Amino acid sequence: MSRVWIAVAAVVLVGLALLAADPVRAAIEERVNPPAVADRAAIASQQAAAEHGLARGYGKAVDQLRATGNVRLPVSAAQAAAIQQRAVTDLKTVRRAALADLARAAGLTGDAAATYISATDPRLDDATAWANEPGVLLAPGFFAIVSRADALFAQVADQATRELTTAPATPSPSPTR
Amino acid sequence: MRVAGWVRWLVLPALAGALLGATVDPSRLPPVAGERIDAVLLLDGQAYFGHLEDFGFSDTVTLRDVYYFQDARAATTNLPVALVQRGGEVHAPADGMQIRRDKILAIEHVNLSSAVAKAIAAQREIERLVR
Repeated sequence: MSRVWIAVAAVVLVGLALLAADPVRAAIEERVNPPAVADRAAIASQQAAAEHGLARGYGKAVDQLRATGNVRLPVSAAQAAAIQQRAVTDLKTVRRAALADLARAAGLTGDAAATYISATDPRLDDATAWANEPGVLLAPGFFAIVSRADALFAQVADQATRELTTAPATPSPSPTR
Repeated sequence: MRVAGWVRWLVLPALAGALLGATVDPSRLPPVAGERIDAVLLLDGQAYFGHLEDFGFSDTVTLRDVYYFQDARAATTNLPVALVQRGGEVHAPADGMQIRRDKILAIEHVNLSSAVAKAIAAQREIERLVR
């Protein structure tokens, strides 16, 4: 009887020692308390907040172009318009690429993604409605998309600003006798 | 082999109790209470969020599935901070994060309805969808 008792106690102690091992404990805990995963509505809400972030980034870059265009520039009006137009096209390309990334992150593929991008892109031209909305703490995956787009928006706007404010090169005078 | 009564009723239960005490994190009882996310606030002001393993016998605590705040004032999210998932750094930390106990200012449980918990749950769903 006492031998059985000792065997049971030994098994219990070995079991406890095994439970103390990190990998075993982590696996059991993950099985018993699975990590919470967001539902479709929560993802949609995060996605909308990310879209508003993209709209604000795009709007900020367009505002920078507009403000630069309002000062006296060393380039002609036609050149300035062309530079601004090209920059706006580039900004929209960045925005569409970011929307494609958002669609992928939200699980949209193929036609669903294309429909989403076409429907959402024009809505983001005017960010005034979301300019001062309370921020939403984005999932890291969504934040990375917004942050990358912000960097590219700034890059495009800065490049256009440089082109607008730099006098076109004039041929240097050739020496005369 | 005969075990004395006092060994059976005193020493062995005490041994089992000591082992249990070292194995089970009392803050995680009952074990089916749902996911537990903790915030570990460090003396230097940094905060890390994740699944905490805190056992009295160690001078470190271990945090797994780690997230932390990053300055996001330059971003257009209308928030000064953003949540970042640990693991994307240059050295790609892989197996949890061990934090020295003497560098910790406070440990707090994260409410599952909080912005941090929601963002973490959304990130898990994004990872599932992208996979």
